[in-house]
Amino acid sequence: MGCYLSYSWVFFLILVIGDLFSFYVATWGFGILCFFILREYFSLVDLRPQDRLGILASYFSIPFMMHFVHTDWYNMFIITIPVYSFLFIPFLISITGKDYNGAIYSIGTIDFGLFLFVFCIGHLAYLSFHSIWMAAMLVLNIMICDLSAFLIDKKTYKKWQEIMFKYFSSISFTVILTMLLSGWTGIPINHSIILGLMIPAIVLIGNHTIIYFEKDLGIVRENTKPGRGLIIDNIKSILYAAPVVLHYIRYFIF
Amino acid sequence: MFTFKTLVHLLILRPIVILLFGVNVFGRENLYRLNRYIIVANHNSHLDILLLFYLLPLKQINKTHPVAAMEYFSKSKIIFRLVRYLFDPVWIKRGDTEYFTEFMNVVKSKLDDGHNLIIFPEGSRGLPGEVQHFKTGIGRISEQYRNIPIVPVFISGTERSLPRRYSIPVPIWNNITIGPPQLFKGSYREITHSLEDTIKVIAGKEFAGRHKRKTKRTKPVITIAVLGIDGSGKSTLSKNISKSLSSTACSALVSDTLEFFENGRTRHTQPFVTENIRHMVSDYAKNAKSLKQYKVPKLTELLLRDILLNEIKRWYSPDFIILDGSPVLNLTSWAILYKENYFTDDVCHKAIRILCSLDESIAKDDPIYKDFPELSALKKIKLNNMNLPDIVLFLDVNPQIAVDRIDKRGQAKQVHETTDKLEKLRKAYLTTCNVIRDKMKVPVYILKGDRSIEETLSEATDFIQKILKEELNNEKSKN
Repeated sequence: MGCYLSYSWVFFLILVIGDLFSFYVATWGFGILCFFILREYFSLVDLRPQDRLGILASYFSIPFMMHFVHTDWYNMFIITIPVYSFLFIPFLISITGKDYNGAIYSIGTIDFGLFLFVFCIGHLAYLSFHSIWMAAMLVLNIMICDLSAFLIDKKTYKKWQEIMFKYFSSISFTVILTMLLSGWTGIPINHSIILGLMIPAIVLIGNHTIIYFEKDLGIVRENTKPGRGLIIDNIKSILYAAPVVLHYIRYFIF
Repeated sequence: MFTFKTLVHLLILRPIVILLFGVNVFGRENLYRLNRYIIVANHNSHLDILLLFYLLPLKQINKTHPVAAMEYFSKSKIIFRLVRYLFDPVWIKRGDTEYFTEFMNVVKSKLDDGHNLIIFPEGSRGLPGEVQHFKTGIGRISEQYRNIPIVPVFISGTERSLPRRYSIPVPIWNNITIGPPQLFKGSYREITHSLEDTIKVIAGKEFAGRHKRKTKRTKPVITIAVLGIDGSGKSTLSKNISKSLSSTACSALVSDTLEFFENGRTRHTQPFVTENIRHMVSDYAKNAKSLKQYKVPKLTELLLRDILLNEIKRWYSPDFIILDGSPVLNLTSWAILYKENYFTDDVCHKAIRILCSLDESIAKDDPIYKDFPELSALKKIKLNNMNLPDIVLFLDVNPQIAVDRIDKRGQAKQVHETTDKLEKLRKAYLTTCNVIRDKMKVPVYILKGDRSIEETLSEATDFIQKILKEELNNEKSKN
């Protein structure tokens, strides 16, 4: 259980450091976390030796993205990975070697990892740049969803019953939490209620998707270790929720 | 004893290994309870040595020496000095037999002083992810120091972080599995083999759960060929087998027509262009007036049938493909009608191997290429990748009975449908069946043609089920 929620504490630690000291340190924290997640992902997927420059370029995308978060350059933050990295990585792979067999697979695998484990976490970093409290609200809500998922996973329900239980057992807590925190986060009550209803649904969708490809990566959820799926399994709930919440808040509140 | 070198390992090298690359260690207790040991590990990358030093207790860092190739590291003076300072290796000159005695003396002095060794018995960094054949040096050392335990270690991940021929390392997680320490008896060769097997077993377990690019087919397509001379009833039998197998699986029948069966019923599929061309060529061959005229169209028809087989596997991948005559075996057996004097067991075996691309051991100037120039022609145009069936059934019928059955059909006879030619073909099929059964380990069953259709079918399906069960048991025992 502790292991299941341990990475939420890492996020909290980064947020507390960002609040108490300097946001610059927090961006480094998010950057290092992205590096660890991406490293684990690249260790699990089957890539060719020829894709090495592509892998290195994806690691180097992290400081660039975090720099744009730190300087509040939203337009560059939102295009640095989906435009420049995604165009540059295939070019690097193409100049490293002549073997074109499996090139599409490699490019797709690297881009997918970069998008999910760097770009999506980057959204949480950007949210925390706007307001540490908003980021803390998101992480707390995700902790509630993880906790209810952990408790319900132990029971034997039918699939649809399990989904309903997970959703409805979470929303009462998430709605109350977002409403209680609205004074600190600055989110109006009506939007707090919507976020409280929305976050558990996105977490469920995200969890379902990531557990689906965890099986392909050979991650056995009962026996994970660092480097063998532990980090990915721990942070999976945040990956879908962070971008959606950031864009919701940017559209309706800022 | 803690020295500046220990501090460098503790404060610089180990943090690099943990933070930049990441390491999982399994079985660390196997090493920590020992004071003296020889570590034997697979070698894929220069990072291996960093990882092995990361494993060691701090007090052992100054007392442990890897065996390293002098000629490789002496290319650069800076690297040579750095490696000598950080790891204090025992140098070996690869390929220099005179230096080996000197190397063994250094090894002895180190071991006698209570120091430890790290040896990569593969000799050099091997292919990524593959354990190469071990050299016997480790066996020779262990033979002389039987009281020092040997610790087998398998390293994975470094072959991707920093593989051979690449100079920039990429952060990728590494795994180190430490096997139980071993004391050996027996000759140096036995020790080497045993260690190689141990590390290969650990490697197999490590790679078993890894993500693979291509999804593995859980069920391979099983090809069943029904052989027999014309009029033996092989078309009827192959159709009955297809229907019978389709009750629980999907089967495809490649006969005069192509049919798919599922749940005991015919399944409609998209037509293949190859199938239409095959029909045209087959009709042309059937109208041939001499064996000479028959040869090229029949050969083309058989090659097209094999291409069709590949297309069925690729696009439909049924559980079973039932062939009314196997292209490769028919092609081989039909040689008897053209060059009877050359047709022997050995020639038959060689021809099948050439047609199925299993001909690595057949010399380019082998007489078979002169006797059968068609084989070298097929090889030149790369049509030598034919499919050898997984199970073969031969329907053995007296040629006279076969001719009578053909006569009863009332259709125009083909050029080879005479008693003497069918007798020759029957002999050739029997020879081919014996060759693939004895030399190529393909299960073959010879069915007697004087039984009723039902009896023949039940005999054939029993044999197929028996072979499938055996294969299933073999796979289970392998896993």
